[in-house]
Amino acid sequence: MIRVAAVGDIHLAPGAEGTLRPAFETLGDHADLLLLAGDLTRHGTPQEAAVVAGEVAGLPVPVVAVLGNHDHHADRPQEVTAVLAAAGVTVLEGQAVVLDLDGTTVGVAGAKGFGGGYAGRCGSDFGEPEMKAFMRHSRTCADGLRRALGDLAQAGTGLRIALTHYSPVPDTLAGEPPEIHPFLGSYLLAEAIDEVGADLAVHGHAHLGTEHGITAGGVRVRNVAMPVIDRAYAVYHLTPRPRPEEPPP
Amino acid sequence: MNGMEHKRQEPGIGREEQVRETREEDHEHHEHHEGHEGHEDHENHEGEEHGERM
Ligand SMILES: [Fe+2]
Ligand SMILES: [Fe+2]
Repeated sequence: MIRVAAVGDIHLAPGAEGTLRPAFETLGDHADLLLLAGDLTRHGTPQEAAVVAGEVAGLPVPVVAVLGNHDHHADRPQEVTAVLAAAGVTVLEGQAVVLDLDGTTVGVAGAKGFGGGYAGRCGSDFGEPEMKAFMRHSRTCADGLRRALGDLAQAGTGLRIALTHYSPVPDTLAGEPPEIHPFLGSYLLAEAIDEVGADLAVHGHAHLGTEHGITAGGVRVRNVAMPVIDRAYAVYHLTPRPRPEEPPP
Repeated sequence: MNGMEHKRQEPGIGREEQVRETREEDHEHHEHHEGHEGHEDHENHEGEEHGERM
């Protein structure tokens, strides 16, 4: 059994040093890895990223993250990524990482994702260049997630987890005004997840949403935005199962 | 500590009016609490001891 700890939307900035570190230091007792689902900073500055780095550096479990929209606000996502990477965090964007946790291989595929909306209520690649660019970015993010999940399927990891900031499903947005759903996620992410398959999909971004959801293909989705889970991290216990369509590793 | 009252909508998303409100709140909050937005209402900084079995 693998214990996955996850939290998003911690929105740290100078002044918040040490608020999460005490809880994170107990992770070794409760979890095998920590996922950070984006919006780790308020405005995406390297200074804010340094505060995040201070909270997670040297933890007893591996830390895997994606960035959120806030981490892009200062147009310095590479610098934010570098600061986190220097603290030992694996930051993913259209990439996957394979962790060997006590003999079980756990694959995490990560991408920020983007908006666009859900079936019957979504944007499309049509009209003004700005609208096309919006939807193109959504598709690029989902394609990155699909590719990363595909890499994990190929590697035949014991567990496969999709990590995004934006939500793949509307279920976990329950509590958010429906008018803003197209800014909170995209069905394209769920399509990517269902196409390859995953044991768990974790996201943040929807501060007023709900923790539990599921994709049309039956993949369990968890919104771990800190205002939703109301604690430093949630923990999910996953049991690796052999997949019939894949040869044993 | 469970109701909606201590939750904050993702800043930057919503009707323009809401965005403006959020910005003003952020600004005020910034002055009074030295930049600690996002989870300032969440005093529960404990992790989870018993995970969800899936
Ligand atoms: Fe957020
Ligand atoms: Fe966000």
